[in-house]
Amino acid sequence: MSEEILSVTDLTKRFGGFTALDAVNVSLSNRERLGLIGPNGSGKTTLINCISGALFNEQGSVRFKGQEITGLKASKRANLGIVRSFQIPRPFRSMSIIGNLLIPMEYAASDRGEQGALRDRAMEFLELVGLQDRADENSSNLTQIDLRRLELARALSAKPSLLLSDESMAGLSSSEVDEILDILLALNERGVAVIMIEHIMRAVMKFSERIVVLDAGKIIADGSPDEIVANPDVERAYLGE
Amino acid sequence: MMKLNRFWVGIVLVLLAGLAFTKFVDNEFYFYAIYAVLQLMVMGVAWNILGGFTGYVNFGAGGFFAAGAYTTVFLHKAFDGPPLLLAVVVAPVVCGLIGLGVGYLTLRLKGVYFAIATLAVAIILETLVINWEYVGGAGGYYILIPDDVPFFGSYIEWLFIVILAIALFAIAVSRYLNSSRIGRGLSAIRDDELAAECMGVPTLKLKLISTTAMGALMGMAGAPFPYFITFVEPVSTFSLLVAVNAIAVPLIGGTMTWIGPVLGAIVLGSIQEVVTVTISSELNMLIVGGVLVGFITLAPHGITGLYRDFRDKRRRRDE
Repeated sequence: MSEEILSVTDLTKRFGGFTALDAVNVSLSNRERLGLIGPNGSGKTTLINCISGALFNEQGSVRFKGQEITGLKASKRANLGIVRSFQIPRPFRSMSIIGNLLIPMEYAASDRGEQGALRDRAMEFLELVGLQDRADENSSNLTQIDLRRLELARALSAKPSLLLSDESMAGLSSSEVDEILDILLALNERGVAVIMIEHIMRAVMKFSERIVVLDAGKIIADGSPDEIVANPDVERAYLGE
Repeated sequence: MMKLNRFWVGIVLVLLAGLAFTKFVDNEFYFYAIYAVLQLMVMGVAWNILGGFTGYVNFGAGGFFAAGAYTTVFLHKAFDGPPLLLAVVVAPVVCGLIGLGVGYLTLRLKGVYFAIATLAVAIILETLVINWEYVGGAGGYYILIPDDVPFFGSYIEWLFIVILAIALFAIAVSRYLNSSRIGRGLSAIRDDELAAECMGVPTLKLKLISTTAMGALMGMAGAPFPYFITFVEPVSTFSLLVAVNAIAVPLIGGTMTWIGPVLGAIVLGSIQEVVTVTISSELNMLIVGGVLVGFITLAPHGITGLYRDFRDKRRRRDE
């Protein structure tokens, strides 16, 4: 096991009287691929939000590369290397495809290079997701699969060491799922640890080295894909008694 | 680099043309008319920094404009008729600070809630001024303009040059904010604030820069106003109409770029001035309304939007 990059301890998040996450503990090592699954409403996206800084947890702590980041703003966490993609793609609609990438390059990755040099580097990321020929098109006219591609390319251009991928494949066809999987694996090859939320079990099984299962705000299982499949608690959470 | 130089050469040329204009034109009407257009331009440019670039629509623009005007009134009374330039420097500082404070309190609101909060700020400022006897209270305040000014033939010529310089300054600030790293961050906030924050954009900081710049430039537009109008009173100075005008300008010109409000002010301001002379000054608001309705239905992205569509269409045809 290589060194630990993220550790979430006793994280609790409440919305009014509702406890969305209850004393959750998760850790992740460098370059690891972690699948995060659970029934709808189990708190997966809330966990991602607490790690990325879109929400703040009331109790517990989040440490990233040994640094306490609980209470840090999302933009600061992005500077440190935590980047997320969104369940429903949220492109910067007034910008071109490549313009979308320049924002995280200039801000999250603090790349103050010349615009020309930035563009060249952005093109590399676009090539990785296969959008290089459409760099100057407006981002508001993209299809679903291209939006997902853009979402991942934009996350990648923030130079993350941890990518939180929130249902990047929902609603895609089988071949498109494979395509996104390849992109995520390529990202991981470049040294990025990935936490993937996904409902498509085929994709989760293929991608993950380890899987964490959330149910009603609690972690009910944590292990290799094979262990998870065989776990009776997981089956119960998904299918009932 | 070439482009930057061309911009600054343009700025200097316009200023020189303005100076030449004061030497060769005697009819004072032109100075009054162009002053009104330029004041509108500064307000439109200022509003657009927060409303257009950042996507935070505000109705409190009139409040900042009036705060600028009343800074001048205060200085005029406190220092017994100080030079106008002092006010032009102090007013944006005061209004920038108001913008910063208001921004800090209201920027957690979004959309229509933010717009209403800024409207409330304007009303609070108006109430303060109405009850502040020192600057004339509800009764208003007269400013006697000096009889003669050095170098210029009359005071309005001097005012004209001052507002021209302010307009050019505002355009330079707006252009910088639009085309720099800050500007790209502001666009990201306008498009999707949460996504921007998650991509490393320090949204609160940039929004505060934006409100401060808006407030400062709006205050700068108001600074010479008491000398222009010579009688200042709260109700008309804080009027919502000021804000409506400031909003109309970028909507007509286009909100995405710095040039939009400049064009919008020239179009709207000129129409208003021509109609004031040829038909009636009462028609002013009707014209704003008419032009706005026309643009929103026919060119929802303003003049610059029309140009962009035209360019895109031609490019697509060429391909």
